[in-house]
Order: sequence, then structure tokens, then C-alpha cells
Amino acid sequence: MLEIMINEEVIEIEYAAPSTMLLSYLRDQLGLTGSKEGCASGDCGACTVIMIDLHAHSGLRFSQINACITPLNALHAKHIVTVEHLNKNGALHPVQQLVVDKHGSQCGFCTPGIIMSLYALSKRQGNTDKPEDFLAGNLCRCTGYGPLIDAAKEIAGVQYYDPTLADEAAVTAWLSSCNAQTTHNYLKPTNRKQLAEARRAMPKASFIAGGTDLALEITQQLSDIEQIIDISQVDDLLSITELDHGWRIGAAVPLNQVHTFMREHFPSTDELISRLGSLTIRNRATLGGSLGHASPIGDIAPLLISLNGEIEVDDGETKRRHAPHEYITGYRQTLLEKQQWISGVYIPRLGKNQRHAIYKVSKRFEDDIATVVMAFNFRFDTQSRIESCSIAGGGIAAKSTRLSELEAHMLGKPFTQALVREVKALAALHIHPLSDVRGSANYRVSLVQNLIQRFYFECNNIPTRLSDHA
Amino acid sequence: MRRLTQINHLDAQPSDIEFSVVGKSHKHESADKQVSGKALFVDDYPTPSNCLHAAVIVSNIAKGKIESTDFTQVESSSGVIKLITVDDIPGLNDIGPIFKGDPLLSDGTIKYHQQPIALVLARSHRQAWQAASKAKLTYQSETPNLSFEQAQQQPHLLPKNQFGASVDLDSLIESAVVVKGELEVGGQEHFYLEGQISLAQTTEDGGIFIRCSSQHPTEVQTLVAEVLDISFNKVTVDMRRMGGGFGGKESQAAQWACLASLGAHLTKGSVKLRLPRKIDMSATGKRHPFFNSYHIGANKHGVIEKAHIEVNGLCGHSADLSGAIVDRAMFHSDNAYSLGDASIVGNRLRTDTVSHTAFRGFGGPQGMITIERAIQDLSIKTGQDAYSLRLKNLYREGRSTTPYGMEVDQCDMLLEVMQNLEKSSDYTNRRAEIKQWNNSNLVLKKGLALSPVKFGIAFTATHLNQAGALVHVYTDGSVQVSHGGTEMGQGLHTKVAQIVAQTFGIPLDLVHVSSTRTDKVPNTSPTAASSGTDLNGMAAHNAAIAIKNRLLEFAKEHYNLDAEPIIVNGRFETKDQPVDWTHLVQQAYLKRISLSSSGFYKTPKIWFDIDKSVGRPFFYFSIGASCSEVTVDTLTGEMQVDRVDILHDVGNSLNPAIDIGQIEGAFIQGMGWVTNEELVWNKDGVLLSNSPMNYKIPSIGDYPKQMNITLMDKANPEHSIYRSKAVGEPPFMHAISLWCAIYDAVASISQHREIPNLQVPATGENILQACLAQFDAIGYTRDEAEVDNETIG
Ligand SMILES: Cc1cc2nc3c(=O)[nH]c(=O)nc-3n(C[C@H](O)[C@H](O)[C@H](O)COP(=O)(O)OP(=O)(O)OC[C@H]3O[C@@H](n4cnc5c(N)ncnc54)[C@H](O)[C@@H]3O)c2cc1C
Ligand code: FES
Ligand code: FES
Repeated sequence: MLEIMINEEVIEIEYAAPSTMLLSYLRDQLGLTGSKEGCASGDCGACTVIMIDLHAHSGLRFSQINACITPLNALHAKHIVTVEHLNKNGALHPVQQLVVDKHGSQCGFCTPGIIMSLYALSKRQGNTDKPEDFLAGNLCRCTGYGPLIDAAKEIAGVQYYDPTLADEAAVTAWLSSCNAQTTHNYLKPTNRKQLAEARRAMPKASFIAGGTDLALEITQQLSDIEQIIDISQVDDLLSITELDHGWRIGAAVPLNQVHTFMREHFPSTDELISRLGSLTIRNRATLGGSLGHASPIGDIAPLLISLNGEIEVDDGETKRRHAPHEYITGYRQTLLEKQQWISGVYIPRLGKNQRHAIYKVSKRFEDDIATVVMAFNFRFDTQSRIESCSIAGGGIAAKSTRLSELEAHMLGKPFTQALVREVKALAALHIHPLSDVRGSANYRVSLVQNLIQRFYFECNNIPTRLSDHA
Repeated sequence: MRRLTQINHLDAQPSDIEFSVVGKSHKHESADKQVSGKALFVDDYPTPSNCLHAAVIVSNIAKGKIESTDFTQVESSSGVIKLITVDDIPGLNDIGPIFKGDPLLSDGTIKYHQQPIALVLARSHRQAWQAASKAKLTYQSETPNLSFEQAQQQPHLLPKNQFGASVDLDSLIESAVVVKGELEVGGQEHFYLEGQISLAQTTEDGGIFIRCSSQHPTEVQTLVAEVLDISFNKVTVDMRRMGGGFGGKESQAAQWACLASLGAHLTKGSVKLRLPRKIDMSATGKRHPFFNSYHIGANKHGVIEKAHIEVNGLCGHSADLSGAIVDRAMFHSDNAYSLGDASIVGNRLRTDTVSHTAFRGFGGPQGMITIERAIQDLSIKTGQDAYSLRLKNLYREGRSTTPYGMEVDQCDMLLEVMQNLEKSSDYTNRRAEIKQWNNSNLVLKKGLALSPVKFGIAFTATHLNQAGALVHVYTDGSVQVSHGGTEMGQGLHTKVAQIVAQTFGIPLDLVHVSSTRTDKVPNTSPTAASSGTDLNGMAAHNAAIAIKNRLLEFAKEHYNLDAEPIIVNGRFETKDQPVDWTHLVQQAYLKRISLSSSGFYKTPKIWFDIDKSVGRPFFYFSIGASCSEVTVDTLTGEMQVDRVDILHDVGNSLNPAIDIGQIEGAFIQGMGWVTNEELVWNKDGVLLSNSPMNYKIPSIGDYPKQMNITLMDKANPEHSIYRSKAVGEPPFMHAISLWCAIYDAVASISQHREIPNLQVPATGENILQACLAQFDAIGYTRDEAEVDNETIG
């Protein structure tokens, strides 16, 4: 049994196949056709709806999510708000009215999704420095975005009367009173022990965290995944804890929360994470998911490698830690064993004389898979020599890699243009990327070389970045 | 992240004439419904009971023959009701819109990757597509021709044509300055947010009723009838709105409508066919890739005297609309410049891919960017600023005839637009600032370009320049309008409603534009060539005028007036008291005055002599200019748009908000075409850029840091509808200034001495290659960079 509040109604669902996505349920079962399907892969945002859940500190939490890649079973005890709900009383919601006034819809197909992302923005307390980020996951082929940017700026930080959520107390009460989910073929353990049991009960089941990767097997490859274990509610995977030398981040903490944390403690990672998918994706996606599929073009593995992080795996009994470049053994292959899951990652604090940078080059600046990711973490001694370094790359081999030949060559030497030249030459010898739809092998080699150059320039305060030039 | 400054979206520009309804920024007629999810698209209509869902089985190879088919697993797949192949088609299998050559289902020959071979009907969408993937097919595969070089060796799809007498290339060499080059221009995926979709239902007469997402309902109607071998009058197409079209649903919506209809016809029920995004992207045609060459001679001042330009469209496997698309590329190979003695040649090459089709600009952009690239080259050869070369070469008095013999009437306007934009964009000062910036920045280089757009308005196939409308006035005073145009977001219905309200002299809210239906207005042209409002607006106006004339004549007599009254805002004066519209309508009804009329319009003045390649193919030109500034990262090829200024002429704007929306949307779409939107096929003819994961249209973060759009406020000298000008396509080509700005930034590496090898789209990879070539040419290595090592650590 599954309970979801959709708009005003609490819906009890006896059984839903694990591969049923929220979007098709809304459109085909409930006749709520306001949310559209533009891609069924999380790329266009036409299906955007709001998921409301209870957050321990801040109360009701509003997140925009892609209904096309969110399994219905993942939404037990959540409140879903669709575009139909915003003007339930007949009058347009202030956010809807604003988009009308700005002439922000042309063909109107993207519009419901845009409205929901803007609604999420209007629910954000306090100022947001980049209100447009809320629309980064919404493609519009007609308007060119100008009126939507205007609308987002006007909405940001303004307190709107929200006719939709008249009775917050009732919603809160319902959210906190739901029974545990009882669905077969879709298990949702809440602690290590239960997770280990679930694993034993369904050894063939797929794990799901945010589903932003797994769901594509269902919506794009059209496979019917029969059994799923949802790890997103397991307490051990959900916290960020400070330790002596650094932090442990739970594997199922949504990336938007990871982002807030990283921005504070590792500002050099801010840009990368803000360009990982879109805010809509990051509301669901997790670190564990990214390391789980271990795609060679994922952003997280190079990030972890360069920060000298570790991956913690668990089987309910014993936790083990692996260095990420050892944990990932090949193309989408890892050391993870059948009965294990990823429970968290460890990231050590950066020292004072340490310099970290991570660069992503992709065709489109936002919400695009990397052509190449390069990350650098150098520690200099008192004579400005390179005392230790890690250089990580994504998009340049069958897996995210650590470029140890380059590292070895640099150790103990002062970081000079002459050294940069040597390392660039060395890089050309040691990396053998593929040509694909995102770029040729030659381009990737040039990027690796020039990103080393960029790191050097940045260490020398020479402006190299488009995003921060005047 | 890019921070933005003010943009004047809603600045209503004053018109020459005072209007009460047209000229105002009324909201889109569906805006309220769109923002609340109530605007219905085809997939949103409740499906008829027992509606089946269709999927297509598609080819895995690009060229060859089907050797064997085994559909047993398809047929036994869960939910499957029926499998349909080419042998089940009662009528014609060829649905070519103009020329033959587009099979509905493969007859055994495979012409492109993902070509439909059979149709599966099942209980659900998912079941149908799951079943379709289970077909077992074997092929005799041949190597596909994909590149320009390969295609050149093959017979052309359609005959070559030429404007102007052949220019003697030997004499061209004698010019003071010669530029010669080639430009590869990429195609573009439409990426309408709503994919191709049709819902077909059989009717009691053995006919078909279709809801589909199509820019050309009449063509859908006729092709469905031909495929099913029934008469046209048994097929009705209802088209309320599209979730974007951009040309991709002009000819290529028909295939899916025909397949859905075939399924419905054979099962005597209803069938819905909706393409998943990946199939949509790989099985439908795109903007044509072109491979163009230019050879231009100028005098020592940079004034062009001679030119020979060749445009080669890669058309895919069939002609589709390629004849006219390459024509339009040729018609725009001059853009706004007098080329002197010029010959322009167009070729239509066959490649073994999907058949490329209409896309906003219809070949115009591919022609126009070629001459703009040539001007950039000329600027490098002459050492003159590209803007001043552009000014010099604009059509002007004494040099105002195009290579196809049409006079450019608004030469003064061309110059005025350029000069006004030069001032408002502060071009000259920024040029100086950029020079300074580039001298002092090692890595980031800026570029600037200001270029014109002159785009011809009318279908080049003269017979398409006709339209019909049907206007009914009901006895409560409300008005219903049907016309042949389709609404795809461009605001056509809003503008037509404004026109009809204006013509009657009544408030806008009395007018409702209904869905486009082939049983209301027959034999229509596609909504394309930017002409939707020009044609259908005028037809609706003519229908309204016919009714209004009857009403005025009646009013004069009935209210005993000296002259026919003037209706303003739904009222007119009589000797005693004002009479309102509804009252007039009811009185007229009682006196048996007809309150309904059709209207018709055909564009005047246009003609074209195909044999001589001269004429006046266009009613008028749409004119504008844009100025773009970019910054390029010479280490990675990444690029950022810093500022864009656009000044565009829409005649008397019918609706400034809608017109500005069209300009802005077109520019950003054009920006995608010249930057990131790269179509990649592998050597087997498989489209690799087949999903939004690997084909990237602009997203919100790509919006220029600063954007200023202004309408040029001048009435159209031609008698167009309320002296407005068409707006759909022309502003797409403003993105060419952005491409030229990238060119400018890259060329700054060599102090504008070396021609950068920049192609379209200028992807990061292409930009980086071009930068590296510039560095090589000047012998620069990063090692020369002087940096202070003390700062590290
Ligand atoms: C539109 C879009 C844009 C994207 N953009 C980017 C991008 O820019 N950069 C990028 O790196 N990625 C991107 N991704 C990929 C993906 O979203 C991320 O990698 C994300 O982090 C996956 O997390 P998830 O929780 O959603 O994974 P899920 O889909 O839940 O899981 C992914 C895989 O890992 C397994 N798994 C999940 N959690 C665990 C666990 N704790 N232990 C063991 N196995 C586990 C699952 O079984 C599954 O096989 C994008 C995806 C989409 C749809
Ligand atoms: S339908 Fe495109 S993101 Fe969901
Ligand atoms: S309005 Fe058409 S896609 Fe946004």
C-alpha cells in the first residue's frame, strides 16, 4: 500500500509496478494532463511538479522534480502539487499571472513545467542570488527565456500569498502521520539492518536513490524493472557529519543539500555542482547514485578523486573504505559486491597551502554531460614546490582516472610554465580518449593540456574564466 | 553565472496610425490556459474508448534492402493487437509532398536509418514501443553516402539552377581584392517541445477524423485520403495548437498522421501515434546542412564588384521541400548587399539520411551566413572594419537590383537600421574598448559584429500565396473566426483576432478564433514562410469587411443615417442615441441580413520566371540589424555572449509583445544553430546526437548577459495587413552577427591578419581548433606568458 497526496486528495494505491513513473500516473490514470512529456529523460522539464515533504528543521520543504523519471513508489508519504492545483479556485496564482503579464508563453508546451519551477522559487525563503537557476532544467524552444528570466527575478525573495496551500497545518499533519510503506517488489528500508534484510530478500533487485539514472532504463530502454530497493530513506545514508579530519556525507543525501554543504567548505566545487544536471535533477540525484553507475563521464568521481576522498561501502555488518580511483575498476564497473551498497563518502579538509580546482567543459554550459572534467589538488611546500598533488580526469578514458604519471612528474618541482609545458607533452602520451558525439579525441587531449594551463594561470591570478570576467 | 540588465520586452512602440485593437500588446489568446495546464495538446484530449496506441518498427541500417523479417515476437508481445506492413496499405504508399519519393512504410528498400518498416498497434503506448523493439530483421546493407564529397559523386536529387549570368572566374582574379572560401553549414534539429503526434478516429462514413500537430492540415488531409484510397471530403483534420513547429511539422507531420489513420482505418477504431523523443529526433528531417563556396572580387576600397556563390544543400534521401529550400538559400546569398556582377548556383544533393525539411528561415540562414562569412574574410584582406565594409556594400541607389532581378525598394531603410543600431549599441566605442581588452588579455578574447538581415516575404512557389477564412457573427454579437493558418505559439490566432476586432470596430473579447479545420476552410497553404498573419490575417479581414459592409449598409437605412456609421469599440452614433454592436447584429438578423462570410486573399505583385530565373518572388523584404559581443576562452573554446542589440522592422507592429517575443525566441534559436547545436552522424549513417542528452539546445544560462530588442517603427510601404510586416523567420538570422563576433574574437589572436577557419556551428571544439591555428600562424606559445611565480602556494 502506497499513500500519496496529489493536490488536494490523498490517494491510496494498492499496487503500482516499480516501473510506473509519476508522469504517466498523473496523465493516464488521474487525467491530470497539465504536466507534459517532452523527453521522458529528465532533460526538458515539461513534466516538472512539486514534491513537498517534511524537513526536520525547516518544516514543509518544496522541491521541484521531474515527474517523468520519478517512480510512483518513491513518493509514499509525499505531497505532490501539479500545475492544475495552482489555480484551483479559478483565479490565476500570482506566479501564473506574472508569466502571462510577461508574455512568457508562446506554444505553451513547456509552460506548466516552467510555472512549477517558478512556484518552487516563490517558496524559497529569503533571497536567492541566482533565481534563474530554478529554470535551468526547463527547456523552452519558443521564448528565448528573456521573459522567464524577468519573471524569475521578480519572484525571487518576494512573499506571495499562496492560495494553493491554504492549510499548511493539515498537510504537515498528514505528512507526519503516514504509515510505513508496504509495497512488495519495491522495498523502502529505513536503517542498515532493514536494508541488509531487503538485500537478502531480493538479491536481484536494483537499488534506487534519486532514480535520475536508473529511471532512464525504464523510460528510454523500456525495460520493466521488476524489483527495486529504495535506499533514499535509510538513516545511515542521510546525514552529513563532521569528523576530526573532514566530513562524512551520506550516500543518499540529495545533491542540492550536498551543494549547500560543499559551497561552504569546498568553494572550489561550487561551479561544478551547480552545473551537474539542473536544480530539478539535483533535488533527487545523490552521490551514491553517481558512484553506483560509475559512468566515465560523471562529475562526482573526478571530484572525489581530486579531494582525496574515500567511498564507504557497507553490507549491514562491515563498512569498508576505498579510494575512488581504485573502487571504480572499469567502464561502469566497481568493486561493489552484490550484498553491498555505498553508504557514504569521506572528504578530508583542505590544508592552508593547498589549492584545489575542478573544471568541466561541456557543449552547453549548464545541464550537460562533460566532454572533459579535470580536477587538480596541489599542496605546496614553503619553497613553493609541489609537495603533493592529485590530478583527476573524467571523459578521457573508460573510467574516471587519476593521472599518476603526470603527478609523479610534478612532485617536488616548482610549478612553472616550463613544468606545465612538460606535463602537457606528457599528457598527450598518456591519455587515449575516444571520439564521440561530444567531441573528438584530439579535442579532449587539447582540453586536458589546456586545463592544466588554466590551473597554472589561475594559480598566478591570470584571468581565464568567462564566468567571472567583468 | 550571467547577470542581466534591463530589457525592454513590453515597450509598445507607437504606430503611425492610431488603432484601438491592433498595435497593442494583447496577451497570447491561450496564455491563461497555458499557464494553468488547461491548454489541450493532442496527447491531452481524452482518448476514445478502446483507443489503440501505435509504434513504428524502424530500420537499423541506413541503406540497403530488407532481407528477412520476423515479427513473431512482436505479435506475441503483451498487449499487441495488430501488426501492419506496407502490403496492408489500401492506397498510395508514397507521401511525398511535392515530388514523389517518401514511402510511408518501407517497401523493402531502406533509404535512411530509423526508416519506418511496420506499424504495431497495442493497448498502451509503452506496450506498443516495447513490442516494436522485438522485431527481428536482417538486411543487405550498403555503405551510405553522407558527406558532401560523397554526395557530389551521385546524381543530384533535383536539377541545379542559377541566378545571374555566369561570372567569369578569370576576370574575378583581376579584382583588387579577392576572397575565396568554403563554409560548412550544419543542420539543426527542430526540438519542438511537443513531439510528433496524431490521433485518428474512423467515422461512420468510413472516413477519418484526425487531431494532429501539423503546420499543414490540408496536406495531412489529402495524404491520408490518398493512403487510404478514399475521397478528400471524408477526411477532416482538426488542429487546435502545436507545442512548437518551426518547420518540422510542415511536411513531416503527415507521415505520423497517415500511419495513425492507417491503423484506425484497418481496425475500424481509433489509434494514437506519439513518437518518443529519440525516435522523433532520428526519424524526422532537420534543417539542411549546406556546403557552400564563395568567390568574391572587390575594388581596393572593399566595394564588391563581382561574386560567384555556390550553395549545396544536403537534402537527405528525398526531395521533400528541398527544391524551394535551396532556392531560398540562393535568394539570400546576397543578404543586404549589392554583389555587382553575380552568379549564384544552387545544387540539391542526395544523402542517405532522413529527408531534410523546412526549419525557420527555410534555407535563408544557410545562404545568408555564407556572404557574411565572406564579408568577414574581406575585412581581414582589406584591413577595414567589417561594419564599414557592410555599410559600403548595402543595396543603395544605383545598386539596388538583386541577382534575381528584384528591386530592393527600401534601401534607405537598410542604411537607417544599420546606422541607428550603430548608435544605440555604441558600436564605435565598444570596438575601441575591445581592442584594448584583447591586447591586455592572454586567454580571454572578445569579438564584436554588427550585421544586417534582409529577408524576402512570400512563398517562392507563387501558388501557395493564397489563404481563406470564415467569419461568423452570432446574435449575441460574438464573432467566431476560422482561418487556414495554424497556431504553434507564434501568436497567429491572437493577431487574427485583433485584426477582425479592429476591422469590425469591436472589443477584442468578442472575437474567438477556433481550431484550424479542413472542413471550415479548405485547400489551405502551410503555415510557413513567416506568412501566417500576412495571408490569413488578410483573408479574415476580407471576410469581416464583407459582413461589415452589409451591416453598415443596413444600419444606414435602418437608423436613417446620412452616411454609413463608423463603429468604434462596439458602438456607433445615430441621430438619437448610440447603438451598440449586439443590437445592430440582432436587428440585421431580423431583417435577414447574412452574418457570415468567407474571405479570400492572394498576395499581389509577385511573379517569378523559372526559366529566366528573374522576377519578383517576394512581396516585400523584412529588414533588421543586430550587434553581438562575445568573449571566447582561447584555452577551451568556450564562449559567452556578453551583449546583443537588435533593431528589427515589423512594419506597424500588430502586437509589439508578440513581435518582440518572436524576435527574441528566433535569436536564441539561431544562437543554438551557430554555436552548440551540432548534428553528428557516424559513418554508418546513425544519428548520434539523437536525444536531449547529447544534442543541446540553448538553456536559460545561455541567455546573453545583456539583450536589447527594439522595433523599428515604420509602416510597411506595401499594402499588407494594417501595414505590418511578417516576423516569424527573419530575426532567426540575427544570430549570424553572433557567429561573426566569434569569428572576430578568434581573428583578434592574429591581430586580424589570418582568416580563422570557423564553421557553423562554431562549437567549443571548432573554436578551439580555430584559436590553435591562429596561435600557430603567429608562432605564439604559452611559454612566452610572463607570470610571477611568487604568488603560488
Ligand atoms: C537530465 C540529467 C542530467 C544529468 N546531468 C549530470 C551531470 O551533469 N553530471 C553527472 O555526473 N551526472 C549527471 N546525470 C546523471 C545522474 O543524475 C547523476 O549521476 C546522479 O548523481 C545519480 O544519482 P541518483 O541518486 O539519481 O541515482 P540512481 O538512478 O538512483 O542510481 C544510479 C545507479 O546507482 C545505483 N545506486 C544508487 N544508489 C546506490 C547506493 N547507495 N549504493 C549502491 N548503488 C547505488 C543504482 O542501482 C543505479 O544503478 C544527469 C542525469 C539526468 C537525468
Ligand atoms: S518530460 Fe522532459 S524532463 Fe520530464
Ligand atoms: S513556449 Fe514553446 S517551448 Fe516554451
